[in-house]
Amino acid sequence: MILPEQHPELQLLLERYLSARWGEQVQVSAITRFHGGAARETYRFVCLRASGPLALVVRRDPQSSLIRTSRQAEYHILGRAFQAGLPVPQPLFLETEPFAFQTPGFIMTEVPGGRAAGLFDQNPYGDNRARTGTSLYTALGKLHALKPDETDRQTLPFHDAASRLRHWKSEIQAHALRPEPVVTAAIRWLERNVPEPSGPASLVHGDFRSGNFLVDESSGLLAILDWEMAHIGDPMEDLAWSMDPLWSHSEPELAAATLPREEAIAAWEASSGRRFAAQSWPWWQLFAGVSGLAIWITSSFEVANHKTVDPVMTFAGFYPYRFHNAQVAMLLERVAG
Amino acid sequence: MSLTLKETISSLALGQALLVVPAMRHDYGGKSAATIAALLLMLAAEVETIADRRANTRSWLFEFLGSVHLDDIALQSDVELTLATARRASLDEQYWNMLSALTLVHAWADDHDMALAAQCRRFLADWAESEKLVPPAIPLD
Repeated sequence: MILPEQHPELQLLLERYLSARWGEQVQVSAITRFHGGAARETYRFVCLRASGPLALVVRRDPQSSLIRTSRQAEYHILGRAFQAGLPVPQPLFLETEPFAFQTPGFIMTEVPGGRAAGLFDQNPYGDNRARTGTSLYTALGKLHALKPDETDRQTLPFHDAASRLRHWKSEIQAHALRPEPVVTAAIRWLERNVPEPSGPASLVHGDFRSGNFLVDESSGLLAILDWEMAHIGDPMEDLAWSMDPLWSHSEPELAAATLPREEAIAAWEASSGRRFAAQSWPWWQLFAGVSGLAIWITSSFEVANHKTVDPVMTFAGFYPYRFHNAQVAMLLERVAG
Repeated sequence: MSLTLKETISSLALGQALLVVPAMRHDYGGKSAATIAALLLMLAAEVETIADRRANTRSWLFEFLGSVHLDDIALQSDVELTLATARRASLDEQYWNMLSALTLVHAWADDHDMALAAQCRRFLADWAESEKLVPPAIPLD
């Protein structure tokens, strides 16, 4: 007999927190942890209120993380995207108090149904892939069409191409355990060839890739998840990351395993009102691989120093690292000769 | 004769994938078990080739670094020292020390010797491609 997951402390904390928030006694049950989240620990649960049951999700800071991110920034951008009509969960409560949910975090609604593609899934969207691709790149365009306002600027970090590169470079320098000849050379080239902005700065998701798309076989795209790396910057970053071959599910000619690249870009241009910056595309492609390596190198550091035993982190420091090391070396040879 | 490392890890991977994973729920614990199975399968493939790959890389780097002539006395000395002490280091240390030396040579070449820089990039592309892992052959989600 398999027993249901037990999270008694978290259950108690959630009941206490939500009862205080809503001014009524609520009951929390059926807490289960999502697999794969590395920057946050994510749990779904059912909250029983006087008005009926609610399916909710709590995202809290883990003890160890692939990347250091701001929960305030994620909560803010989620609200911004929700208000703009993008397919995202509705954020409900942000809690920065250190022990709120054992660690700080926030609560949002659960988007029911669908699944996010696993890294090794082949043709994860089946017959629906063109429709899914159009939905994805239209939604991404809508995000990039939003003009950052004052609240965005106060809450989200601003990273143009050069400062985004500095950010990942410092992460690599802080966490590399061994010589990194490929990414070191790639950063050198990127630093010497920083492109002009593709247009005005926009809101950037920061981790727009297949594992963060909740898709239903019949109804298509349900939600875009995991906004913890959101910032203000150049939207070319989201395009390049989403089209990185690691997320292509063995079909690198397709954008995010959905549409041919040109069609995806056309959908994005139509909804964003922006033009794809073809001249800077090689830079952003190489940058995508470098940012991937920064994340995987950080993961390796956490694992090697026993800060985590989550196999997702071990996996990150192994397969995706080697994949991006090869991808970056190949792209570097292409751009530098 | 004992099992080889590859045989042992392959067996553990299959046991994990075929016995442990199906017995668990499709939740965090079950998916973590599947991730471990995927890792074991990749490790089993890795142990079969890593010794040859590392030996080839060390040989290439030893020859390449021994052939470079840099207009930077300090760097040239560092490279020569790496090569001179390589025989006293463990195989693992040799590997990483020479990759470290290559990183420095490449940085210098980017500024001073385009042909040498291109050689470094060519090596890195081949080396990194040879290090890529093959995704596990059985579905694990």
